[in-house]
Amino acid sequence: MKLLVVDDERSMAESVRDNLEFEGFAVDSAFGGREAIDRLLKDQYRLIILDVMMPDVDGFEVLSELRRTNIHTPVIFLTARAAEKDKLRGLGLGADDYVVKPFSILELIARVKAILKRTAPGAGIEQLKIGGCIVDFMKSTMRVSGKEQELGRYEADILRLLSSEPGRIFSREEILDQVWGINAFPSNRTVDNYIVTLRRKLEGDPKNPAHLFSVYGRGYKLIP
Amino acid sequence: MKTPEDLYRKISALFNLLEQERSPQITCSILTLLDYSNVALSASQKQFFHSLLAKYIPDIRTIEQQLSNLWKTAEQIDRTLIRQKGACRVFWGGRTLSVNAEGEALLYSPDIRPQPPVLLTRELPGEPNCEIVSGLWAYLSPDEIRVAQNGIRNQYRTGNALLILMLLLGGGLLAGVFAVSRRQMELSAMKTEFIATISHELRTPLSLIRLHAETLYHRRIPDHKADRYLKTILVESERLTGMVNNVLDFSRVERRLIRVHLEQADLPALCRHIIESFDFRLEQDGFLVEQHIAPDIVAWIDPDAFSQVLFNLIDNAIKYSEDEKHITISLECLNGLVTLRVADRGIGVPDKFKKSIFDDFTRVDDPRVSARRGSGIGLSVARRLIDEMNGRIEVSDNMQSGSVFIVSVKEYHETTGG
Repeated sequence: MKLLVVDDERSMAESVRDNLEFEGFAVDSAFGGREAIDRLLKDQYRLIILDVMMPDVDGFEVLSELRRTNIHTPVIFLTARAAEKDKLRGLGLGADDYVVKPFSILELIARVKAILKRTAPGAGIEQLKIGGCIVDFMKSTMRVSGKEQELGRYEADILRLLSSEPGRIFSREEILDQVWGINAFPSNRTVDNYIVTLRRKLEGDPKNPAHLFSVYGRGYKLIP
Repeated sequence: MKTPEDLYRKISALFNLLEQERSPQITCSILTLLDYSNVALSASQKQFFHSLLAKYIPDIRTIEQQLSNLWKTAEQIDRTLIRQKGACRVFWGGRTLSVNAEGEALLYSPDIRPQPPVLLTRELPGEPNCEIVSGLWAYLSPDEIRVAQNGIRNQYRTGNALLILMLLLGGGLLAGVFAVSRRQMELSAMKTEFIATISHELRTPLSLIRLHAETLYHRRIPDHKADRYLKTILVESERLTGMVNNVLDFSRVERRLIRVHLEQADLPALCRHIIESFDFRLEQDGFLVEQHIAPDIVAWIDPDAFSQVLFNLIDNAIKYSEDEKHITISLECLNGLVTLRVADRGIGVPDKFKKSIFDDFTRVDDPRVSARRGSGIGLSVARRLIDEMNGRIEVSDNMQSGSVFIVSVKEYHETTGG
């Protein structure tokens, strides 16, 4: 899923976009509040970086409009408005962060990553019981029949994603997008390989899985 | 306050308050009523209250002396206001306010009681004098606030409001008197707003410079984009310079230090140079720019000052354009008068603002204007610079839509100089 950068200063929007793309994110940009709302009503985004002072519709109004229409995409305000009352207003409207210009791009990216991590599907899950296996996301370990095994980063992220909606089928593309990011290079086969490894670790009989199912032509689902 | 009975009633109320709190401010209020009210008390009545006060407040003499000095100074500033229309009251917040009869009737109300503070700026947006006295509202009910607002508004309109601010420091009194004309009060509030706005304004180019420099430094973009990044840094530095120059010029104007050095200048070349400095921004924002610059015009101007004026006009034309991004810049010379026109198809300037838009801190009262960054000094600096060059600047409506800013200066004559 993409990120959206909204700023009426084109140079600002484009440079923030360049920097996010450098980090491997897929990014769209909008140069006004109205354009941002149109895009957000049409497409789904993982996070919005939103300017406040824009001539057509300002950033505060954009966020209010989104929340009114039940769109809860995380928002970082990126604005020259440094007054405390503006920060309180922005955060009060439901923004996830408020960054004042001039800013450090590396800090902004760190904040983007922190929010993406915090708001990722299944982000709140610390432990998960799958059959006789207990997954500890905090320690990145998996305990089966009293034996503890390490859980790799992508393995943990795949399990976290699938367990965010038990029983729902996640396509390979969706898993790639959420776990690796849309601009990352792994192929669909990468997902298959990780699923095979996970089955070896948590299924009693990996050839006849009881929890981590393939749904032919559609993807994978987890039934704990 | 019309009768001695009214005065008695109100003095009694203040003594009740003094009973609860031995405050020098309440003492000042009582002294003010005794000595400076428009209802006269007899000498024996005054003596009675003075001796009563002395029982509550041992250093009453010092306070009396301070208050007397304060009123002497105030009277020098506006005798009529104080003697015939005004009244004075010292508030708990340490402020004394002179208001008219309506205010007087209200302020000496015996049922003075603390109320939750009310932010007056919410009540009277754009009337900065009221903001200055906002401490008052902590002691008034909503109805009383309305009456006081009317009183202050009336006085405000007469343009001769007198504010007396008493700063109470420690046990003693430090008094200062300021006669503030309506325009001065407006300017004072505008300056506060200006400081907030300009710091916001400067952040935009500054953040673009930092972002682009940081991105280049960390090599986070492909090589083919590097030139564009460097160009942005250059353009935004120029924009920042323009803004800083505006602030500096404005500050010099304020301190009457502005100086222009008139000389013969190749105006077409100067105009082309300034327009070129906007090329990148104009192209990036999708503007179409028409230029009609007549050749061989030599004007009697200060080139730096004129450049700043043109910079401000083009910057505004970009800023206040909406969908029709079209700017026409023309320069011609007719009968010894050089005329520069910058026309846009933006939101335009309403008739009632066509003159005042060149005043300090003035921005058109329109949500489309307030939504755009702006400090309200660009055009006032332009006007002052043009005045110094013995020229003229005005605005009229563009034929299609938007506005045309017209600057006229003298052509250079070899025989006469300017």
